[in-house]
Amino acid sequence: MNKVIKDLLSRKSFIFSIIIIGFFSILAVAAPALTTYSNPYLPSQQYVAAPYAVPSWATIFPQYKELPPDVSFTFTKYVSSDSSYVTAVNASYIKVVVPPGQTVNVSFPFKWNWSHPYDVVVSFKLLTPSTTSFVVNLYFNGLYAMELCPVPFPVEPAVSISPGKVNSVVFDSKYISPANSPFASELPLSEQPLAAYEFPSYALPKPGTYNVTVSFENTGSSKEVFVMSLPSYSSLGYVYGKLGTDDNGASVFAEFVYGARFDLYLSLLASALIIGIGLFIGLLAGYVGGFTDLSLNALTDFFLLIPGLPLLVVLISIFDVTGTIVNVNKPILILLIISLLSWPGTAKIIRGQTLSLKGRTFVEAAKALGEGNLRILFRHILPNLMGILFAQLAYDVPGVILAESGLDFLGLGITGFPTWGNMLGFATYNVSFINGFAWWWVLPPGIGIVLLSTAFYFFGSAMLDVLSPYKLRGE
Amino acid sequence: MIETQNLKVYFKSRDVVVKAVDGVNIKIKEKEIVGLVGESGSGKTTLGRTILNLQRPTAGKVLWNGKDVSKLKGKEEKEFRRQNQIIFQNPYEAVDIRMKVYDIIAEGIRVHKLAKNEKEEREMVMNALREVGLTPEEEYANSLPNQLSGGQLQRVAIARALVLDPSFIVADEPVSMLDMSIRAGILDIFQKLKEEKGKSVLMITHDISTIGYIASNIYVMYQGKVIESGPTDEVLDHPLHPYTKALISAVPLPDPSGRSTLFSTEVREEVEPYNGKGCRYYPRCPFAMNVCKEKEPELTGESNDHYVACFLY
Ligand SMILES: Nc1ncnc2c1ncn2[C@@H]1O[C@H](COP(=O)(O)OP(=O)(O)OP(=O)(O)O)[C@@H](O)[C@H]1O
Ligand code: SF4
Ligand SMILES: [Mg+2]
Repeated sequence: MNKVIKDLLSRKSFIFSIIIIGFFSILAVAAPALTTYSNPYLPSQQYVAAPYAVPSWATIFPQYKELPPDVSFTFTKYVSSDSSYVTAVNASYIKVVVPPGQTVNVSFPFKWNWSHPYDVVVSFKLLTPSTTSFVVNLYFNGLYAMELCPVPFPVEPAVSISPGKVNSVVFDSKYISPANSPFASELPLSEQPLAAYEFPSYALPKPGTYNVTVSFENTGSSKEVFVMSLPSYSSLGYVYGKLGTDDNGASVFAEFVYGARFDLYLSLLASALIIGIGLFIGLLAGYVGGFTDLSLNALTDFFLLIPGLPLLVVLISIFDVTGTIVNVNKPILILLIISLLSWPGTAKIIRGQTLSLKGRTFVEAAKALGEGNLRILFRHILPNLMGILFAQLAYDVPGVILAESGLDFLGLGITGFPTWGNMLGFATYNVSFINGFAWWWVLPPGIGIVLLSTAFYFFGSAMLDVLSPYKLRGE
Repeated sequence: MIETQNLKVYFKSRDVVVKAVDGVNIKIKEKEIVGLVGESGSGKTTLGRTILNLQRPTAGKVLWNGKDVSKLKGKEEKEFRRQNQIIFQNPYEAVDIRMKVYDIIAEGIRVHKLAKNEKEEREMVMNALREVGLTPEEEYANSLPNQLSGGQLQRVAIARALVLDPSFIVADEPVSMLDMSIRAGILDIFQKLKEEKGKSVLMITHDISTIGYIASNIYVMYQGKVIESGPTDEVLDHPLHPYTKALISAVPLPDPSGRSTLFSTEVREEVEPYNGKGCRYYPRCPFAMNVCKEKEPELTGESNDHYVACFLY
């Protein structure tokens, strides 16, 4: 055994394959620990950053240098027009007293170091007076972002706020429209539909110091008292994580890792199934020979002649259209179909090897010693097939990954959770001249498929060489 | 004990039929070493394999204590396997090179359940190794085939057969693949087997000189047929068939590779191909007559058990 391992370790290609396979296996196994997003295709796990956010490390390139990351913080500093009216209640609340007919502004300054973000969200709690004679406005520097009125049906673009209660005020630039934001309604008509998209670039166009200002206006004849929490700010950036985001702002790293997990899992399972069927048929045909061999060979040839991928496409489509797929788990269906279409090659190779082993003198010697067929099979034929089996297992893995990825790429396979195939598919489908080539989205699954396939191929070849004593002797 | 009756083994490869064994009758009695001599391709191995029921005969049968070996079943077949063993020409091909020497030898013990426990099995294996001169036996038991020389491996193959305590052994050119220097040692093992244990051996060889010392009877094969047979001394001292004569006269030649100079003295150049009906030797026979081209000579008794197939007699 030691010799086998030594032999293996002396091969560069084997070391390479072990490193690659090991790397992806660790990714696959550790996936839940590596990312909190177990299925980034679920809407609830999307928009962790702006769509098409680039990986964090990509900011070393000049064209991505200015892009903001996800930012979120709670303001701690405030400035007011007249400090006698504004006092701190505690660390996170302030009290604002507004004399009749006057307006008090409270500004929250902050430093912004990047170009504009994807969105802007400002939220705070506000305890309002129990009258209706006040208006609260929210400004972003000079931009009139929000108007809050205590009347039940305020005139648009004002939004209503309950008097005498704690209100949760949220300004989210993603949802602004001429109906809820003066900023939007003041835009020229043609630009109004794009208000949500344009607000961040108006509000935070470039690095600098900005202010969020809450303005309290007392229209009544007695003083009013407001209590508000220090607001929180958050915005999604155009830079995210290890591998950026896809078109839905979902983590590409999470997709990649879970894709690796599924691809490895499926391909190993399918390969095991393929080897199982191939070994059974090949061994039977090769060892028993005669009519058994003839009929099994015919069966193998039949399956071999079926054009694999096209049939796969047709079968999946049929199952899909007829709704059979609703009752069956789709990954399992794909696993079964791929396995059923892929075993013939393996069966043929095993048959050939069995045939050649069967004709060897040492098998005849075993027979001469009085060994029965089963003993010969399990003690002499099967152990000598080990190399081939490992090699086949390793050669089948890339085949399965490619077939499955092909299906997913075409949108016929799995779409509900990430696989390398559907990552590539979605990435290709969403290529447009706006986002250009989302390399951080396309390359990882592409490189993953190529690397893993190559690694498995090398792994198989090394195993074949080392575990097949009769091949090594060049007979 | 073992005898063949008009045994024929034909191999068909596409259109060509190779008559590897073509109507052979031989007999091996208890405690007897029988020599089977012939040039390469004359069908010696095929005959040996057929005798041990490793090859199905095309016609004729092999009788073991009067029973047709191809019809043996169950217990009887197992017993036949245990009592009749074969040692192959090429030791490297005859063992599963993945297995340790110990396991190679213990294989037969396990199949036939000859040992009551592991200790007894170990003892049997070690005895067998000692018997064939592989000492220190512990060391050899733990080695792998590719760590051994051809001669050592052939001894392992012999030990594997001996551990079953067979009564009959086919030794298919057990030394032909080995160096001259170690041949004598291997042949000694067989000599002892006969003398001390009273085993029967069918000793296959293409080198008639080695057979003289140990075989009591000898069969000379040429292209699938026995063309001369008889007690060894008789055949060696008074060879009748021109082919046998050629074999014997070739012996003193010191060339160790043997075959190329085998027919140096009394063979003529092969001038015409065999026509399919005459004596198979006539294309090379210096005494060929007209009749030899027309029909095949039968094996006929000449004097006390000395048989020959040639029209000269
Ligand atoms: N399994 C087989 N299939 C087809 N032809 C065979 C087979 N075994 C042997 N032959 C042929 O039968 C003939 C006799 O072969 P065999 O091995 O018995 O000769 P041999 O006397 O043992 O020769 P050698 O001294 O080289 O071992 C040869 O022509 C060989 O090619
Ligand atoms: S039968 Fe004729 S050809 Fe054949 S060996 Fe005798 S003499 Fe020679
Ligand atoms: Mg031979």
